Amino acid sequence: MADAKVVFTSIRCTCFLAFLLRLCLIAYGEWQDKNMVVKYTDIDYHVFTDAARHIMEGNSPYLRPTYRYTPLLAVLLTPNISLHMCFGKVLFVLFDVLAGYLLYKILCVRGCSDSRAVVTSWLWLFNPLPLTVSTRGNAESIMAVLVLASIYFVLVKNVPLAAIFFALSVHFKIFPIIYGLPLVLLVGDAAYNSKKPNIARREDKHKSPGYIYQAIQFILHPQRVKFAVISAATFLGLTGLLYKRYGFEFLEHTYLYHVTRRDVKHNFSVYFYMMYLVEGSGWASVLGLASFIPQLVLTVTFGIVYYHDIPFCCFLQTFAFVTFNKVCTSQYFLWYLCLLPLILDSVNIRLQKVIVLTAAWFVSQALWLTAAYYLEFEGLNTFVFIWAAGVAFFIVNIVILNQLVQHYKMKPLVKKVE
Amino acid sequence: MFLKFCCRNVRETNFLTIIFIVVLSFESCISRDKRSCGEVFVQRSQNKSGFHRDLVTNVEWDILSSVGDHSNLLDCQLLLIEELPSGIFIDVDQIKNAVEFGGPEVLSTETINVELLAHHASSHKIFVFPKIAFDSRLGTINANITIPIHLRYHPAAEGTKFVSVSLSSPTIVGRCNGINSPAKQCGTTPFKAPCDATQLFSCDWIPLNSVSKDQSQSNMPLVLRVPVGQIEHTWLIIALTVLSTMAGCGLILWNSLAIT
Repeated sequence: MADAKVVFTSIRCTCFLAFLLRLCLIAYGEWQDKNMVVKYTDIDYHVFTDAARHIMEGNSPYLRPTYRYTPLLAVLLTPNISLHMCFGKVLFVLFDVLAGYLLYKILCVRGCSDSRAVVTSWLWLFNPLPLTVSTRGNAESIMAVLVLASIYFVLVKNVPLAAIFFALSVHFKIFPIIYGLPLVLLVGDAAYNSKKPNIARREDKHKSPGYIYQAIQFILHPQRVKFAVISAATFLGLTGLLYKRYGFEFLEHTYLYHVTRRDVKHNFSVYFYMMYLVEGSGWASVLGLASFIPQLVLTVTFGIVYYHDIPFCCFLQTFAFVTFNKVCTSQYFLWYLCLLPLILDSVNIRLQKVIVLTAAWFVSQALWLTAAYYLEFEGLNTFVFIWAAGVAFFIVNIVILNQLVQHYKMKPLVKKVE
Repeated sequence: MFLKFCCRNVRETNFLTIIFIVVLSFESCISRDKRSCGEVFVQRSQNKSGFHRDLVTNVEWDILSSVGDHSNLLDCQLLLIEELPSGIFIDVDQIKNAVEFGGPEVLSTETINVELLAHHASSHKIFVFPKIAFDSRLGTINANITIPIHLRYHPAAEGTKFVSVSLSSPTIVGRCNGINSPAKQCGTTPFKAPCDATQLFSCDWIPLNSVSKDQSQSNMPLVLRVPVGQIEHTWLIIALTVLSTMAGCGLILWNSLAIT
């Protein structure tokens, strides 16, 4: 019995079961696609496949309208054409399981016991949301792996690999750029680079003769320079190569579209109705820029205040970024959901409160979905109700963020370096 | 004398009446054939409400009176040419998925952007090739076509909660393989359009005149109502949204800095 428990809580068994479960879902998806009008496969998966076909034919993936990703994704999925249509889904599922494995590794590095780390990784590996997202053919799991890999490598003090994975994640989706500040601050931190953090900090301060010298020393810290140079070289090198091959189209669809995206159709964002009402007027760009300020202020503040606990810091930054974003869909929740298992030990909130907050998060979403259903499928004018539900969801998110900040307990950088 | 005159007149009158009736019958027969030659009965409706609806079109074509019985009627085809206004779009991928479940094949000669708002989009012409059923008893071809359509977001309006989008009746044409110039039989000019959804070749089609079984609905456009934002909400929504986001941001900022 005890052996069975040990096997069940081993990471290998967990990953194998998670992979098997996902394969079953892919098989079910194939059946649904063949037998039902409503398809299981995400429309984006067909977009990726069409883009991969263009790559196979030696053309630009951007010949496929609405392909707004890096050409590397289309290249990765060329076996969809040459091997089997399901190749991409299996690949995404592998990335999904790898993300779960990285969560386990990070938790171990942070001093979590093996069995506790495995059980915590279940929050991702057996979570219905990432499970369905990857098996439907959505590429979010690649992002999760890239972000978690950069966190893992920074925690095990492998700065070059952390920088490379960070640059790759920014290349795949721009939003991880917000992790740049805490990562740079962390790799140059005295405590990070010393086995005796407090002494190192004191020595550092005594050595510095003036503010300017301190500032230069701070910026030009060898680890920081190393991280910045490697990540910039990776990012710019990839961008340069792909720009040379695919021209301005690549910049436009991979980066610029996501930065300038202004979608006024109903979504979870608190800004949705306001942006819709001012659409086409001079106020649209003013309010669009103004709404960027809270996002910027909070991500920078969290980056500076919590960089020493990088998983917690990245979670807070992503949560704030999504909460204050002008566009928010349920796909965006995955961006912070992959970091959620890492912060459980960083906060000290009573279980009752956790349950209430989680329930409030789901209930406010349900309120929004009800109002949105009546607009989208019943044709009723419920714009004001959608806006009100969006504000309620925003308030719940603010309360959660506030609770996390208030109940944060300082974690050491790394307990065990592998 | 009078009787003789009367009888002769009656006989002549009868004779003239018979000729008149025969001529009239013949005329009416010819004219009926001419009218039905290029006519289709069309019934149009829409299912569902909201932004995603089903456009349902029932077409009944009296094929025998149009092309005669010398062709293989199973080889006959119908084509509906729909002019979608800027407020409506179709998702070509969604329609392709429904083909194997009995949905029509749809050809769009241009790429349809499914993300644009109504005032940034343009109208689209689509060619709908329905699956047809032949009624041998009545000698008609029937097609029940359901196309999923989507309404675009429209700009916010003042003093109203809804705006209307009109969808005009489709142009309906038909053709039968093996007939060189089918349109000439109906005395109409052939209509050039793609032969099928692959758009590889162009064919001559017979322009058909749509007639509604309910005369009051003949050629009437479908009017769809779309909910829109209300301009009069603008300032209140801006004020409350900015206030709540600034308050939320300030609270988090205060707490994270204070605790540090």
